[in-house]
Amino acid sequence: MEDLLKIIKTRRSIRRYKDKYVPDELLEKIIEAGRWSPSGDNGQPWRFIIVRDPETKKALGKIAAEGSGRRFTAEYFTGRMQERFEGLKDPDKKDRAFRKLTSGEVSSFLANAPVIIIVCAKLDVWDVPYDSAMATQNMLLMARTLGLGSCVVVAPVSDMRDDIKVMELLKIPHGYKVIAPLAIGYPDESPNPRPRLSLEEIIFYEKFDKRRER
Amino acid sequence: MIDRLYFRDIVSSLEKVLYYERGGGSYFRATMIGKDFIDRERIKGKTSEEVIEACIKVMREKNIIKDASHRKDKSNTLFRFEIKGCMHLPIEARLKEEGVPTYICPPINMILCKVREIMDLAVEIADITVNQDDGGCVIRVVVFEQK
Repeated sequence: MEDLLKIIKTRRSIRRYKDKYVPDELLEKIIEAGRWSPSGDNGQPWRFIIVRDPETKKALGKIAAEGSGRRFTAEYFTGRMQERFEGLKDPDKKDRAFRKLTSGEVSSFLANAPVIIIVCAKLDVWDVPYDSAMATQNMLLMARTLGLGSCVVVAPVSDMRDDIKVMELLKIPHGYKVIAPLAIGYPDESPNPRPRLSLEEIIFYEKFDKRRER
Repeated sequence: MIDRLYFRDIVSSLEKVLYYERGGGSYFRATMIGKDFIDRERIKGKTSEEVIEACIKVMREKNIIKDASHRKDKSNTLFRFEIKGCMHLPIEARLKEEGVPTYICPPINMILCKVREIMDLAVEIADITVNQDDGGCVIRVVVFEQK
């Protein structure tokens, strides 16, 4: 069995999936990993909606694309996106990147995931964001262990204007909120790892201003 | 009449609480703040500019702002708003001094809600600059057709 750190380090956010059925047993294992997460006061606020219906996935993909598209269009027209991509010299690649972001295509892949697990949370507990985040990470790691790809796609629920549409679409009652949709499927891509800050940059000793003496 | 200091204390505390919970994502949770108020008004218009002017008129009459101007750049997408004498300005200025970036502008939220609803256009705030010394703010927004 792979050791835990290897699983953690080889997890990627997968945005392209094979057209292959993901059995319910595997989805239940993923959710089982979420179910065994810690939660404040053992509140267990998590609830999960498994979405396979193409029309619902299409609607979620559209909401995701609208959210991302708005955000990145604002970044583009103020020139901040051009600053962010200054290092990318190939004009064609740059143009493609801008189009992918401003059109919202960067998030619309959600519609093409074989399964979407919607992580929801009950609000009448004390530690909703912490509990839900821990459950979500457990699920991502279990998916990786099972040979499945996954991606947390917050684009359809970041903004209140979109969040409301998702709540209506999925008939989520008052007293609950959507934490994040998780795209799940067999990976059809192998992205390189994204850069990480070094341990030296993120560890302090005793107080925030004290790094290890060398 | 609500005591102004009380109003500012409460609203700035709430904004600070949200910022410390959500950081930069606070903006996205606050995009509908102000919508209830403007929904009670009869806002009409055949163009984005007309809707914007109708909202500004209401906000002036209700003493939410003293004045506001706006212009579109050549892209026809990016609008630059200047708002003067806004009742939220002292709150945002205080938060800015305390290191909380400005992530909310209720007057612009109200305008954008109505542009979105009436004109069926996509809208987003790009950035907000608080200039307390000038007694105003500059807010850049995008308004566009989303395919």
